[in-house]
Amino acid sequence: MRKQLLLLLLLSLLSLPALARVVTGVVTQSSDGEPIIGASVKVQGTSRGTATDFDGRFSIEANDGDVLEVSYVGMNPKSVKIGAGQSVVNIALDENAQVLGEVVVTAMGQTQEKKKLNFAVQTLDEEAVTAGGSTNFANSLQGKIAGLQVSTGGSSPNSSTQVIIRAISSMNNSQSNEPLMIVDGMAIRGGASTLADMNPNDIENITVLKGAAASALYGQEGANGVIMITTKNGGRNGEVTVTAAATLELNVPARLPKIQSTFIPGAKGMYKENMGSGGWGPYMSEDDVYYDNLRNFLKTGIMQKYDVSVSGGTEKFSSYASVSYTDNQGIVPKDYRKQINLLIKGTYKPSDKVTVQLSANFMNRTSRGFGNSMSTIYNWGINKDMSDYRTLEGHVNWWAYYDHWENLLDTERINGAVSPYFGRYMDWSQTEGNRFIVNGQISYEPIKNLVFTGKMGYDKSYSMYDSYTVPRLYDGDLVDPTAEDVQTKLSDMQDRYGSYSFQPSRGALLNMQFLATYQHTFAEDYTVSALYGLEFKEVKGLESSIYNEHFQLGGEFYSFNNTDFTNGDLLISNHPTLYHSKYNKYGHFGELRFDYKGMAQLSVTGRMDGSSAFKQASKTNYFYPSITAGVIFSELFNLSNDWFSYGKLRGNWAKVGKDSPRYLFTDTYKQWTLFPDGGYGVDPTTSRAIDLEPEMTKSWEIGADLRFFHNWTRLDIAYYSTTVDNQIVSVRVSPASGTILQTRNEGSLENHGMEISLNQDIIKATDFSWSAFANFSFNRSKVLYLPNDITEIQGTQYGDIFPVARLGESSTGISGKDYVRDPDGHIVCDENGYPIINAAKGLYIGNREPDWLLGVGSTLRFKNATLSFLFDGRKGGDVVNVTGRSQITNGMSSLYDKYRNREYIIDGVQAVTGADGAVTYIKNTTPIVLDSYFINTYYSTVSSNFIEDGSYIRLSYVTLSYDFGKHFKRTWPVKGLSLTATGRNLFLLTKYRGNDPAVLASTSGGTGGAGIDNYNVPSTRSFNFTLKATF
Amino acid sequence: MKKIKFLALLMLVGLVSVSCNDILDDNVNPDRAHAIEAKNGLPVIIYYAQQIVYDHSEYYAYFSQMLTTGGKSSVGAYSYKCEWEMLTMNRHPMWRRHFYDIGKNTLNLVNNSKAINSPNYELIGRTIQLMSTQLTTDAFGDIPRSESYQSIAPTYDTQASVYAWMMQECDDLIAMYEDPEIINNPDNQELTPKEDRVYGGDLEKWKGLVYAVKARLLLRNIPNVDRSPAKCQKIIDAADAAINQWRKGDVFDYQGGRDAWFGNEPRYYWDGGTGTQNAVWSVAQPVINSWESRGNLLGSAIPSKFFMVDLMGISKPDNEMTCGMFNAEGAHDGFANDPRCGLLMIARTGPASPSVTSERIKMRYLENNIGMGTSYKIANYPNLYMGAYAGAADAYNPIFTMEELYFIKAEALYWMGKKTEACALAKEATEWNIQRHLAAFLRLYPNENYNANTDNKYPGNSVSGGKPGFQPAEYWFGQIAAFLDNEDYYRGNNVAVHKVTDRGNKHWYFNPSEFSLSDLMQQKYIAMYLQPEQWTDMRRYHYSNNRNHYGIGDNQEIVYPTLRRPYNLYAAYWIDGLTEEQKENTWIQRINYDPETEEKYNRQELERLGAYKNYKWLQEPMIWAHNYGEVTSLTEEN
Repeated sequence: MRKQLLLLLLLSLLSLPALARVVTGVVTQSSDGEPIIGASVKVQGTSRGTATDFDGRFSIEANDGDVLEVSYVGMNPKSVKIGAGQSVVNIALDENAQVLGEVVVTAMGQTQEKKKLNFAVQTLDEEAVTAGGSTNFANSLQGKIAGLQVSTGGSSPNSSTQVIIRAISSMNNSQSNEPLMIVDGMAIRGGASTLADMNPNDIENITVLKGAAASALYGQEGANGVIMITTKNGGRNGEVTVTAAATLELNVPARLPKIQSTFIPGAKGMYKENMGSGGWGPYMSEDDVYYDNLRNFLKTGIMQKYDVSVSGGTEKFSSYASVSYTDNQGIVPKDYRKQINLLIKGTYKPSDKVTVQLSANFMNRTSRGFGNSMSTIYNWGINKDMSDYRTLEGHVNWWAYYDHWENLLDTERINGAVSPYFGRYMDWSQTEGNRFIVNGQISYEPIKNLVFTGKMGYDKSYSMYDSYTVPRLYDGDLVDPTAEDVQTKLSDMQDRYGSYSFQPSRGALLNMQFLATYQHTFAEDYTVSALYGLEFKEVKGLESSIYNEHFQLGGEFYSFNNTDFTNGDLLISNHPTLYHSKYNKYGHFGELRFDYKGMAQLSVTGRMDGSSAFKQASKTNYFYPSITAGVIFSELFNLSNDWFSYGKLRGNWAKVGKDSPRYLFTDTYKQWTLFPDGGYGVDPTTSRAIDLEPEMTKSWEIGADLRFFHNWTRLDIAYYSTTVDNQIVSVRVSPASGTILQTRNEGSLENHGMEISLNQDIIKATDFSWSAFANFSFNRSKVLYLPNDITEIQGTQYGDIFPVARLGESSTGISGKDYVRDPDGHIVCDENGYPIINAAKGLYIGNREPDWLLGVGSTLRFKNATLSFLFDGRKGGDVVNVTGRSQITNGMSSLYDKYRNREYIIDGVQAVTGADGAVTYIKNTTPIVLDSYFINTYYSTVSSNFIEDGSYIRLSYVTLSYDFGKHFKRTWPVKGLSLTATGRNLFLLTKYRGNDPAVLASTSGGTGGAGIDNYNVPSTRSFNFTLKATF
Repeated sequence: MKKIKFLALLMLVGLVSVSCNDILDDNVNPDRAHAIEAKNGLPVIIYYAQQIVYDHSEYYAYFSQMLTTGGKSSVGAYSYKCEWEMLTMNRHPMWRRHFYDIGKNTLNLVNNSKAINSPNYELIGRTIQLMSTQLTTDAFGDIPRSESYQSIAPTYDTQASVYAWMMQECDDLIAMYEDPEIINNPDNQELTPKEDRVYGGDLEKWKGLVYAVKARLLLRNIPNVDRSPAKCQKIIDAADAAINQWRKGDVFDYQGGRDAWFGNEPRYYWDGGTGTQNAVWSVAQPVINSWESRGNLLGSAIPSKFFMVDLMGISKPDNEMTCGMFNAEGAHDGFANDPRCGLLMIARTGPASPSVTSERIKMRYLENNIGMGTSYKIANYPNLYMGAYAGAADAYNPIFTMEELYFIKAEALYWMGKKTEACALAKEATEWNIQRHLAAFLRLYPNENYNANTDNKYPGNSVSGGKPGFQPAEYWFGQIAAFLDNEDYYRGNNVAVHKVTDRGNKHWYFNPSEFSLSDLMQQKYIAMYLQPEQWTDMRRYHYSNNRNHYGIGDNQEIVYPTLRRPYNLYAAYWIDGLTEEQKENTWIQRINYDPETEEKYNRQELERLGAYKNYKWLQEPMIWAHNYGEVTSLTEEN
């Protein structure tokens, strides 16, 4: 390596040019006038040469009459003769093909030509970002980027979204696996859910950095990949453009679970008084009225969005501003999100050497969510009208659930079932959030090719959750409220008399960077670029809550001040909470990049991080390097021909360190209510670290960018392998060590996989063009090591099912209960035909990792009309159907319409022991009766029955738009007008019996909540109409 | 080159300016206490002292066959209550209680007390640590001690070395308690009941606990290690020292109601104060945290036949219809010979017999892990939320009882051949043990009318049939006299309460001329109700019974004649491959190490000991429970 560097230096010295006068100029792309970075400018017949800088500028020593040869990969080379005394020569190059000069934003906001990058990176332009029309554009990224997996928590406007690039890297629940989100070069808070705060129409493009090498400069958050968002800028041509758009979207529930319509609530086929939910009772009688409670409860969701943006400017000053309002009403009553977005952005160039950019983004959101609360609705008795939820006085209508409320004991009445409508329409809650993202940057180029940049980003949000529940119980609802058992029960359930909750919180991220870049070209072919950066990041948060119960005064005085402050027990259990958090880190980073003729690149990076989370660890700082290399062999060896246009091979190796959650190194002391006398003891529930090292991701990747048929066919392939060692996990250790829960470095996991993206131009004519793309990827994860006898690191429990990172298996596996199986995997039944349940818990019963992911899309343009669509799909990827389990357990599945009480033969085997004691298996032929006894004893209790194949193909969206603008006269104030109609999620083909296999139960870190269907609001089919005018 | 130099200089400046870690935050949670003072730490350790006594007692009530459950599980969640399939239990609370709740907090307390030169905290903390160590090693055997808190996976010390340390710690602590420079240290912070609700910071009284633990430790010599008179005398000396220490001076009685006989026996009162009235044995079933402690399950516990019939002497044991009924037919003999039967539990309604559905109020019981008959429910069995510890949410939990000291002394005297003195001491202790529970009973149900048709809450005046009325005091006096002295109690010319040799199990425990080891240990067993020594005593005496024929001492005395192994024991551990004789001698001897933590994080040590997932380890006796002569010293490696 060192020898090569020396050789490079030597060569450059040998090629020092003779002196002449200086000629300057700008090399641009003829099609759009954009500057070309890195174009080779050479004086014909000499060894003098240079490369253009970031603005396409060059400066070279030449004489009158000299001919400048300008070349750039993918462009037709051009020769220009220098006229007498001519000191400025501007040259526009024509493309010899397409898309080769694509410039992307890479780590730390550095713009770079894509062809010079040595790692997998994929970019979506404005059109691709907004295609699909989701309010959170992250929700429609699935299929658009290879290796990116999106899961959503249902169709609620407030549901969460999780994006995982390639695979998870950390097993610990408190470690996030979501990519780092960067807006205009600076980090913002939160994962994919937080992208819902952004107005998609403000986005100019998105770049996704996938591997560790791509994001090594970003430090630990970059270990999970980076989603870099660039917002729009004002133009430079002196014109002002105003754009206005209005969107109306209808959301219709799709693939709702099928609820049985035959049986009323009860037990074992018998009527049971006052049982209002489930379907284990008798057949509906003629006297019963059937209510489709699920479909009555859900409605058509309506989303409206209005946008206005203004952009304009000159070379010196340009600006962009937009304002938008969104009102998204979900399919569940009173589940909404309203949002106002404001973005102002300006770029000012007071001189050639200085550029200042400022942007301010303000978001205001009011919302009310529904959470994972569909369980009650699915199981409400079909002979009960759930919508008849209140009496004339506004009290709970208990008869919506109970046949004979009057027969209930007081202790049963206290926690009587209340219709979900009551909570939606009578209770109130609202979350109001305000978020400001301010970015500022100034760059200064004191001498040519040396640029200093200072950046600051500040992302601050305030949120207030404010809610009350109205009383469920009123005087007279209980027969003898003074009875001892009633009092005992009531003492714990004072919320039945109403409650009030107020939870303000705030969070802030301050990010400051200093960057210095320098570029130097030796001779005309060798360029060395250096970058040094310094970053400081501070995250602060505050959460508090006050809560109390039992409204004292009647009427509708639902105020916190009306709750019960005289009840000492309530005051103890409802004491206010206030928690601050603060975390900061700094990093130094640098990159050295060598380029030969734009055809071969070598880059080395290094980053040293210091994290406050490791303040008390033996090593606060940690360093990690990366190296990348690539060669455009088609140029280097002049291989381009009619069918093969371009070829690049690339490879990289990188390490990225990742620190731990904060506050792990000190004991904390807690006063339990049971500790009398003011005693504080060491809090055993808080995990404690003795010493920690960073989790270390090591990865290598090879890839190729291949283009054929004059670049009509563009293929990008990447294969990667990643190992994450020193996993930071919290485990329960020997208390003789002095801790109960200890956070420590244990375990490692591995991911390897492949990404292929293909872009194909099919027809390119003046009036008609047709292009298509496909993204394919797969990942295989494996937990390589866990300490001692630990077989899995568990995520959040769902009944007896755990999402797990399982030793020797997937990092996103599933463990739970299963049947006894024969060596061939068949269920073993007893002599009565009943399946035998394996007594062991924690069996490995599924893998949520898909076998592969695929997205196929296409765009057709005919004159002013455009049609585009995207199919996305996956093979494999198990889903835990917790929702379906509840319907099966409660007798509510539509399967019972046909199969309940029928005889059924379990598809299994029976064991036969021969005279010699050998066990053989014969096919089970003994029928069982499919009744509540069987279901609740032999079926519901076995988790593997609810692990389902999540393979699917979805028509993600179809968009048809027409641009009327071409018909307008130039004199009209309206320059453009387009109408776009989009259908989303129109078609879903899957064997999954639940609502949607691309499901998410929670955005928790570690092995995570993706692939867990846990009572989400069902997904929808959407119809979106947008009218957009440009002035 | 100038440019490059400039750039290099700039980078250097940048590096130097921020490579200092001072800009990093403290990484200390500002909203959680991360340091406390000694006075904040002490109440917690004292609280955990009673909690670890409870933790052990809760297990031992079942191991010692005093309580059982309604099921007959052969794989239960709490296998110590039923089938002894201990290896799949996830955790045993007493393990973390000793090492973390007491150990870690005491470590902090000692450091904090040194920092302010107030050694009174250290003395109390170390005293509790000593007792906690004794309870822990007597349950588990070898345990980490010398390397605790110094390693993720500390080496286990042998039980003998732990005993050696404990004996030395006893002496060291006593010396410290007697050092005027320590106890009269002017910097000693003044402690009040607010910090120390057991003794209000009185070090003299805490010294008594050291003597008491020392007596308990020395007692482990009997009967298997050292039965010599000299050793017995040492036991007596230690017990006497504790008794005298606690009888000395004023009674610390800020809660009130303590009889003088109990002196300053350490009690943890749940009177509320600045905390909650949630006595650990009470019906409140408090848990500190769902995973930190285990609430008492007395609500679903059933007294064993061994306890009720053989020891308490339940009435009419041979009559299926009337056994356990209150005998008011001509006399007020109560439910059993032992008055404590009516003080520790309340009889409840249920089927008159397994074959008769009509209901009666009876004291029901069950053989261990045999399972209830199909016609029975838990609610038919006695309510166990009674007695001095379990009867009220503001009850107390003793950390060490005076009765135990008396029985320790009595046992040593017995082995010295002084059986009459031993009998007298056992009787005195029993009388006060009855008094302990009676006081709690009368507090709950003062002077109400007796109604045989309800239950035993209200013994006293008869309201039916014109039978002679009894005042409660008179009733209990009659019961106690009949039990302790085997005397008929007369009302006028009529026998109102029969002597015990005429009823129940027809056995008088305190016959000075026939006082046996069995009488002594069985009475200690009852007096240790919900206390941690029952199981230890049983193990010391090899579960000696009529089925295993394990005779003790020169006279080959059987100590618990009617004791038998529970039904439905987990076959793989306790039945398979054993002869009938081996089965009767195969009992649980220790608790397996906490599987959740030790098997995972100290596996090598467990493997070294042979304790890793090995059920045979459960059958390995403690160093003080080997056959006589096999182990000759508690404190030296054998």
